[in-house]
Amino acid sequence: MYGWAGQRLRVNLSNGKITKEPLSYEYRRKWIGGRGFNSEVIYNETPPNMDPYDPEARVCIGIGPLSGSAAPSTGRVTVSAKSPLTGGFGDSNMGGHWGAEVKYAGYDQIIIQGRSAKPVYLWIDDDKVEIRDAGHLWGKYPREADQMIKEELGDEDIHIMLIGPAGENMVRFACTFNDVWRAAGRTGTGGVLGSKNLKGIATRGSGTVKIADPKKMMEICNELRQKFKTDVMKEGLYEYGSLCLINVANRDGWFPWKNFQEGAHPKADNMSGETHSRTVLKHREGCYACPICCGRFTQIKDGEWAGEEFGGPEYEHAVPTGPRCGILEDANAIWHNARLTNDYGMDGIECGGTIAAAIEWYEKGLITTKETGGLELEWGNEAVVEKLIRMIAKREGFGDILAEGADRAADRLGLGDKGHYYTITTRGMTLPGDDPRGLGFGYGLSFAVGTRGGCDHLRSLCCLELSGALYPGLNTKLLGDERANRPVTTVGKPYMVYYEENQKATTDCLNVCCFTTHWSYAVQTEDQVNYLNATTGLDFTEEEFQEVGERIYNLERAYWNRLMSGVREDTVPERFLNEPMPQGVDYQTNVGATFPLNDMLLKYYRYRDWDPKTGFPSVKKLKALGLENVAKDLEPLRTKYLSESEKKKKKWYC
Amino acid sequence: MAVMTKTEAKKFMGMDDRMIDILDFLKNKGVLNEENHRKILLGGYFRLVEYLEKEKVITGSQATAAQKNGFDDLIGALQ
Repeated sequence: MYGWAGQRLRVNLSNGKITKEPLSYEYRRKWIGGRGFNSEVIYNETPPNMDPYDPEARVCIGIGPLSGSAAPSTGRVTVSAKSPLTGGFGDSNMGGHWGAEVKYAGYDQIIIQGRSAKPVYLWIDDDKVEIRDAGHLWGKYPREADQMIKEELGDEDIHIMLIGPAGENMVRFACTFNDVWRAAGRTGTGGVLGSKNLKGIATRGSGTVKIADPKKMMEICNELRQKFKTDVMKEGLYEYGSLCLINVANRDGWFPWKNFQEGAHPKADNMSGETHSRTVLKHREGCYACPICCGRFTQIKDGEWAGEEFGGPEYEHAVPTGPRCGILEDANAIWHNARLTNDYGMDGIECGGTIAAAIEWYEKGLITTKETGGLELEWGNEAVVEKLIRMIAKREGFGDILAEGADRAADRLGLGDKGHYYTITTRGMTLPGDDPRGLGFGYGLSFAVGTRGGCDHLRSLCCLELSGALYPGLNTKLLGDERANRPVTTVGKPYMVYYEENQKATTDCLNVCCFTTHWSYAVQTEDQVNYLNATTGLDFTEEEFQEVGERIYNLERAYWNRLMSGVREDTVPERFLNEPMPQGVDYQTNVGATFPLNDMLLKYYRYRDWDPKTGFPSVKKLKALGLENVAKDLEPLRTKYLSESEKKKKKWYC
Repeated sequence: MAVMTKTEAKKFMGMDDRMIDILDFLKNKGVLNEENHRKILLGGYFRLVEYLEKEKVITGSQATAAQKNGFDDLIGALQ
């Protein structure tokens, strides 16, 4: 077999049973790998009404047929589970080198189920798989546990996936990491692993990836690497990391100042990629086989946090516990907060978004020091935000409430609709630091319909809207309309979202980094099909490849539909619908914009062939995608959803 | 080949998002069937132009212009 290892590893932590299951040709062809394999298992093995922390709930870790090959940026790993944050379908992916190691050890996917009676970690040494005691690792930061395991196993070259203390404490937005700093940040998979008492998975692989046509594969890879040498997006990402977006966001009015109250701030440059590179960048880091090297390694050189070092931050990691909470004066405080969320193992977006919502509840008088345990929540109060991060990770006092995520915290505090107005979420997950009133209406639509809740730039990836203009003619080629380059317009956006969602799903099956395929468009669909075929020796057509993406998207959507989440929940935070973007700074171009969801949503449903009354995929569509079982699952629920639609309000989460 | 009236063309020109409407229109006119409607939707606008040229619904030069300039030119060619 070429490309795939051809088997998955299933570990039952309740009884210690470890099995290896072959993956059939038909199965691999239908789901390809990574997100495809994971979504299939989550749909069929974790019933929608199961508690995400139930021992029988699955965590799936998937890589793709290209993982471990020479194809550019194939270091991603998808981690999927029923999300404890949203209650719905959840996944997230991370870079690093661990994914390639899993392939070299001989696996395409790892499924974790059951619950260990005590903390353990998994040691995969090729075909030898062992469950080992992790009592001494419990409570350790990923960087500490990583080193301890390497010393214990006597091998500095192994790669390890880990959770941090927040995962152990089942914070609903805890992350999963590998290679210490690379996070699958969203939807709370770290908490699910913590609920199973699994600290991590150490891996050593001595195998290889068999390539069907090595000569052709090298030709393709060399050609793509040449493209990256002059690629405009690669340049920015290499120089400044994803922090290169700070000044762009500020210029175009989508910088999430104070929980999206404004879209720009005169001091945004304090934390820009340019400033970061000049002041605290220690070195750049690349993931497996990556020609971009967007990763940062930061060393704080002065002030209260001098001497701190950590991997990162990303734009989406630094912004939430920085400007979203009104912190911008001292960039070192922002870097420090990012280091903290990393060490504790928490999703910076949900953590910062929840704190920002709490600050706004406090500002608007919905909560007082009585609820916060005496903390005065004010914008820009660095000490309070720092303290809250620690309290959330440890589930202490008011932090225990915020550890539930923004929407659940609003409910625990009994704040009602007024409280939810300031939780900037969809389907129970906080949106990243990207205001659709400035970043673009395509992004906004993708937030509304995303299959894991408040999605970010690594998921729906409506990047034709963000970077399309840097590739002249690309939006004409794909969408037939170059005007789709403009962000604050509905032109071409429903089709753009449909197209990009499918593409992103297939990219996640290959576990290729989307910075090569969507942020940068150096690698396009035809290239992906070419290297998939050269690797596997199969004959995927572009259409078949794209159809896999559509299949995955509909399957994930159906998971939500089974939870009675549909058209009512396809929306964005009311702030974006109701509040025109205020005048921020002189060069802000989107002043007065609100987000026109309804103009686009019904058109988007037509592309998807989803019922506009329910938001459920049509039977015809599901059958065409080979999802007959899903069509059956949804059949009795369609009328139920309709009968409830009059009286029910939207669910904030499931 | 004229498959669209001026009134129909004007309607499409005024739309913000045209792909699904134009594909549905071409299917209703018998230019596309269910299968290639689906393929083109998955593949993107350029696949539509390629198909229309192959089926001689538009000429080679019209196709070249439509690939370069997008729907505005294609709608013109379909009138």
